[in-house]
Amino acid sequence: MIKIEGLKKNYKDFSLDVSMEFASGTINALVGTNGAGKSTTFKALLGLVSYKEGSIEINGKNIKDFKYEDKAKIGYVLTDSFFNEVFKVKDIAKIMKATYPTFDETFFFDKCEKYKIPDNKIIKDFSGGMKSKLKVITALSYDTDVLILDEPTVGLDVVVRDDILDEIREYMEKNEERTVIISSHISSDVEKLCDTITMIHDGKIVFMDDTDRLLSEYAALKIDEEAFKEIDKSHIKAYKKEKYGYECLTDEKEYYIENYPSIVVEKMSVDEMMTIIIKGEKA
Amino acid sequence: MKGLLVKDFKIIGQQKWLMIIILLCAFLCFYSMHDPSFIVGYTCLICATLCVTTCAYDEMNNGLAFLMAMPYSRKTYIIEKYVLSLIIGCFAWIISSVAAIFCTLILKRPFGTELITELLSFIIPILVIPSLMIPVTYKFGHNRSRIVVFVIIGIVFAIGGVIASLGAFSVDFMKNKMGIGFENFGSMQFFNVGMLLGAGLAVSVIIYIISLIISIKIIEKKEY
Repeated sequence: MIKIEGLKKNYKDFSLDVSMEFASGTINALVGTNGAGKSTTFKALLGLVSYKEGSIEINGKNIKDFKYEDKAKIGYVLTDSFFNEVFKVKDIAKIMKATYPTFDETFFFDKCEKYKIPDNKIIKDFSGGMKSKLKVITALSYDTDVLILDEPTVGLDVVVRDDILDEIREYMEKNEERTVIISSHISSDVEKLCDTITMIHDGKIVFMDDTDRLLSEYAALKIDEEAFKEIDKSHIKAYKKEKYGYECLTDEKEYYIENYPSIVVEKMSVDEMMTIIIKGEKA
Repeated sequence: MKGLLVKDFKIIGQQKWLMIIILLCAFLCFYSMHDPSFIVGYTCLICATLCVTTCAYDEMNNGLAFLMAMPYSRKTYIIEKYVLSLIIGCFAWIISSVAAIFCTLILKRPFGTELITELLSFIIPILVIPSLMIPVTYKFGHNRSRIVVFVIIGIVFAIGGVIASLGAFSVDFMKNKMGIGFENFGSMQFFNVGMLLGAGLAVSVIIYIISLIISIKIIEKKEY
């Protein structure tokens, strides 16, 4: 279980202010544009940035009180950071074995073999896909309670992305008490994999809901200007001016279908929801 | 700490060609200069900087963020760097000292306190070089740290120069105006080499410990 309560982090031109909770046994996505605050949240979770206000608990323990054994139960992937690229896969295995008591060397090399990651080449010579897979395999190769993945599929083709998502699913199947938190720009990945989706924008949470509810209850209402003036806006989260009138994002599609039968109601992807929230106005 | 040490020895292992070249240079210099203590000085100075090389490797491609998220505390990470510098330094000093003693015996040079004092004096740079370079590297980053180190060396030399000039001036002043000659204080033998070496080593150990404390404070304030 991951619980972030009133986490505030201020930079010169950016402020993060978030609270969120992710239950055990769930895969959770954090989505948002570049600079929205996803990476800062992940860094705070991993103790890479300090914060004066708020608290972060993982499985009921404040991360500021974490000891070696607690940190060794966290798996992580960072977008732009890994072991030095002069290392070979077998070097990484030795470092991991000396660091994590539960490191499973057989699993690590088997997965490297499965994904054709050579163990005698330096990482610098790997393709982008190979590097990403190696990062994920490394994070999955020791026994963890929590997996924190910051953009593990960024810049990858659909086949590699699918492989990585399969590995995450397999990780969850082994122990259903585990918690995964993942950030991604690719909404299709998130929709396929995650139980909940949280969107951050400008350092604040815009929405946080179950993926099933997001995809079934959230929808776009397409209405002309006259109808927009009269419509009940209590279930409209954001709206955007269009040529025909307004496109509105609602989290209660059924309410509008029942009460305004003439309104056009369309399904939305997470990307489209993000666009309307970022480019539109709050209702 | 074991995993961090494994990582750093793997990085040092990447420098094996550099090490071979260093050993070759040391051997050639000894062959041309016939000075056994040069081998020790040269090897110790080069090896003292090796630990800082591992800091630079950690920093490459934003690697510190990944390393700082590992289960080790930041304090452990820094202590490991100092332990590493001691391991490398001791190893380099012992191997090169044995080589120097061996060469002295081959050259049939006198083997006595003078050589031993010279060999022991090389422990000072083994302690002082990492003490200066590790905190500077973490404070300013590897690229800027080189400039900062040169600036610090410049300041130290400038202060040393001023102190030496003031000393010469005071000796001169005391002799000419007050009629007190330096010889009145007895000979330089008062400060025998052994005492100076002991004091030098003690100061180096103190600098080493202070440097370790400063480095821990620097890394604990950093954000990645």
